[in-house]
Amino acid sequence: MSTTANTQRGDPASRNRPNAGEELLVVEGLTVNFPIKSSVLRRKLGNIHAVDHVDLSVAAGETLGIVGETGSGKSTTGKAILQLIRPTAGSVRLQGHELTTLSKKALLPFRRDMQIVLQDPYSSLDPRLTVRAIIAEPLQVHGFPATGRRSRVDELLELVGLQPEHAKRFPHEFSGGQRQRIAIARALALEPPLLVLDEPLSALDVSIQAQIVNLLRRLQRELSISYILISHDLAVVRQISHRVAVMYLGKIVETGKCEDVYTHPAHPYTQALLSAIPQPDPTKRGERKRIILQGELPRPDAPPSGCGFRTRCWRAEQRCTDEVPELIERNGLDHPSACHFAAVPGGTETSPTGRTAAGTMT
Amino acid sequence: MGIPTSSPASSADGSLPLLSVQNLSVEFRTGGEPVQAVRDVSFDLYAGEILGLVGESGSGKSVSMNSLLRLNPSPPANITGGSVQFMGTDLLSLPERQLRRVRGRNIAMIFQDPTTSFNPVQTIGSQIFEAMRVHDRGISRRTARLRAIELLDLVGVPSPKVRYAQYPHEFSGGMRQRAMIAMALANRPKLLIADEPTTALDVTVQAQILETLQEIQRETNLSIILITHDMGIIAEIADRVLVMYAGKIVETAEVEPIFGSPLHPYTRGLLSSLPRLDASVGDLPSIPGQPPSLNPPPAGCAFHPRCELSQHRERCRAELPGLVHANGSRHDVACHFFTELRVPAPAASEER
Repeated sequence: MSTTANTQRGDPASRNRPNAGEELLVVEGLTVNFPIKSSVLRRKLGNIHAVDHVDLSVAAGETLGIVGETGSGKSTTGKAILQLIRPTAGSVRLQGHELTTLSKKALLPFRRDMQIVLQDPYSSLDPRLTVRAIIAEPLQVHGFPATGRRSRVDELLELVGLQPEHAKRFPHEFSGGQRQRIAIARALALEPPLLVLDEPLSALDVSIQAQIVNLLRRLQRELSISYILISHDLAVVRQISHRVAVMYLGKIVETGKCEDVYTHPAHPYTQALLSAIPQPDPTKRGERKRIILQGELPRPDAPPSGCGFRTRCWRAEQRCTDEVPELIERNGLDHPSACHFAAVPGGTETSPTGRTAAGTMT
Repeated sequence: MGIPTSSPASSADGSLPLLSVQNLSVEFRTGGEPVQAVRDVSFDLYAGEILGLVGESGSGKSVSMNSLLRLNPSPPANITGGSVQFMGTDLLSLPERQLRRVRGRNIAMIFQDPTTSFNPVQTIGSQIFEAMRVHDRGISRRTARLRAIELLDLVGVPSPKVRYAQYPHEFSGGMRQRAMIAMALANRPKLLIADEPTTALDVTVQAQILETLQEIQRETNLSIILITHDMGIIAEIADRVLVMYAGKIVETAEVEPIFGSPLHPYTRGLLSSLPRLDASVGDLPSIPGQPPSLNPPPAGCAFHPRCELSQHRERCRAELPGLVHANGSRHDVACHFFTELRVPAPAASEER
C-alpha cells in the first residue's frame, strides 16, 4: 500500500479518509525501551521501560487524551506512534497500514498523514524563516505543486485565525499564542487525518489557552481531524477529549470515555491525580478531601514488581506485589482499569467530586 | 460605591501591617521608551497572612516582588517611585549593606526552578549551613547541622541525616523544592516570598508542597506572598488576593469574593476561561486579544482593548482608573464601570 500512497502526491484531498467513527489508528502492545549504557565501554547495563505494552485506538474525528506526570511515558508514546522513536515492540496501524515494520524511506508518504504540534512554540519554529516559509515547508517536502502553495498558506493562516499579511513576518514578531497558531497551521498544511498535540497549551497564559482550546475544537469540527492530546493538565484534557488514557510508569492504568473516568475514577492513581488538582473554588476548601500521595515516581529502570503504583498506593496489599493487574473492566464499571482493588461504584471510595476516600488522606 | 482609597487600611484588629508597599513603580530602560513593568502598586500584608499574587506572564508580579528586596539588576531595572515599609524600615532607601541583612533573614524567597537555585557542587546541607552562617557568624557547624536536619525534617524530606550530605542532583524536583523551603526557613524569616514554587512540579508533588507550605505557615505564623498564574492554587491556600494586569493591581479582595463575585472584567474573564474538571466538552469563554505591550502601556485603562465592558467608551481609553473600595472596605477594583458588572456572574461551571 505504500506505493499507492506515493502515487497520491499532489492534492492531499484525493486521499482516502476514514468516515467519522471508524478506527483511524490502532496501537497494540506498543513498547519502547531505552538502553542504559556504561559510560566507557558502552556496554548495555539495562533498560528503561519508557512505554510498556500500551494498547490504544483513535477513531476518525475523535480526540484521545493521554494524561500522566513527568516520566509516565506519555510523550514517548506519542513519538513512538509517529515513528519518531522506533518502538521496541508492538504494532502501530494507521488506516490499516502497519508502520513499525516500514523503512525510513517507506515511511515518508505516511508522515503527511500524521503531524505533531509541540509544547514550546518558541523553539519549534525556525527563527530565520518567514511564517510563509515555515508553513510552506511541509508542502514543499511532500511535493505540493509550487503554484498552489501561496494560496494554501494564506488559507491555512486564516483557518487558524491569523491574517495573510502575517506570512511575511518572522516568528519573533509574534506572541506565544500566535506562534502556537503558526505551529498548528504548519501541522495542518498536508491535511493529516491525525494530529499529535504534545502539551500544546503548557507554555501559554491562561487567557490564551482558552483561545487555543477553542481553535482546536473548531478545527476538529471543520476538518473532522483526530487528535491525540498529550498533557499533564487534566482540566484541559477534559475540555477537548472524548476519551482519555491515564498513564503511570509506561503503562495505561485506566482508560475510557472522559465522562466515565472523571466522574468514576476506578484506579487509585487516577483518583489521586484528580484530587490533587487545585480547584478554583475557595468555598470548597474545607469540605474537599485531598489524597496526598506519598513519595514520587519510582525509577523506570527498576520498576516495582507487580503493580507499578503499589509503592505509593494506600490500597496496596501482597497481591499487588505478586501479580501485575490487567487493564480490564472491573466492578461493573464500563471502562477498564488496571488495579486489583479498583473502586466500586457507589462504594466508600468515590470520585474526587465527592472527595471522599479512605486511606492516607488529609 | 466608589469611594477613593484612603490612608493605609489596617487589619481587623487594628494592628499595623508587616509589609506596606506604597505606589511602587518600576521601569526597565533598554533604549527607546522605558518599559513600565510595575505601575503604582500599593498593598499591605499582615503577619500570618497568605497573600496570593496572580497575573499572566509580563503582568509585573515577579518584578514587583523582586523590587521589594531590590533584586532586579539595575540597570536596566529602575525603581522610579514608591516606598516599601517592612517592620517600620523603608527597604528602598536602605543602604545595600543593611538590605543584605534583610534578604534571606527577615524576608526569604523561593523560586520556580529548584534545579538552578542550588549550587550543584555543594551538598544541600552545606548550602543550608551557609545560608545560616551569612546572618549569624557565631553559629557553630554542629548547631547549624542539627538545625538544618531539623528543617529538612520539618519540610518533609525523608531520612534528613542522609539527605543533608547529598548533592542537589541526588534530589528529585519535589525534594529539591522542599530543601529550598528548608533553606528559606533557616533564619526564621517573617516573610516568605514564593515565586511560582510549584510550577515546575507534577500535580501530585505540587499538592505535597502546598500542604507543606500551609503546615509551616500555621506552625510558625509566617506571612507568605505566593506568586502564581494558577487560580486553582490561589483558591486553595490564599487568604487575600491581588490581581495584576499590565503592571497594575486591578483588583484585590479576600479570596472568596475574588472567586464568588469578581468585579474587574479581567478577573471575571480569567476565571471563566479556566478549563474545568467537572464540565463536559464545550467551548471556553476566552478573553480576546493579547496582553498589551508596556512600552508604553495603552492609554487609560490597560485592559480596555480586550474588555467586553468597555465597549470602546471614551473614558476607558482616556482615564486611568484608580483602585477604589467597592463592597465593604477590603474589596478594591480599578475599573470605571464595574458597577455595571454587578449582575450575577455567568456561572463558569454551567454546562454549555
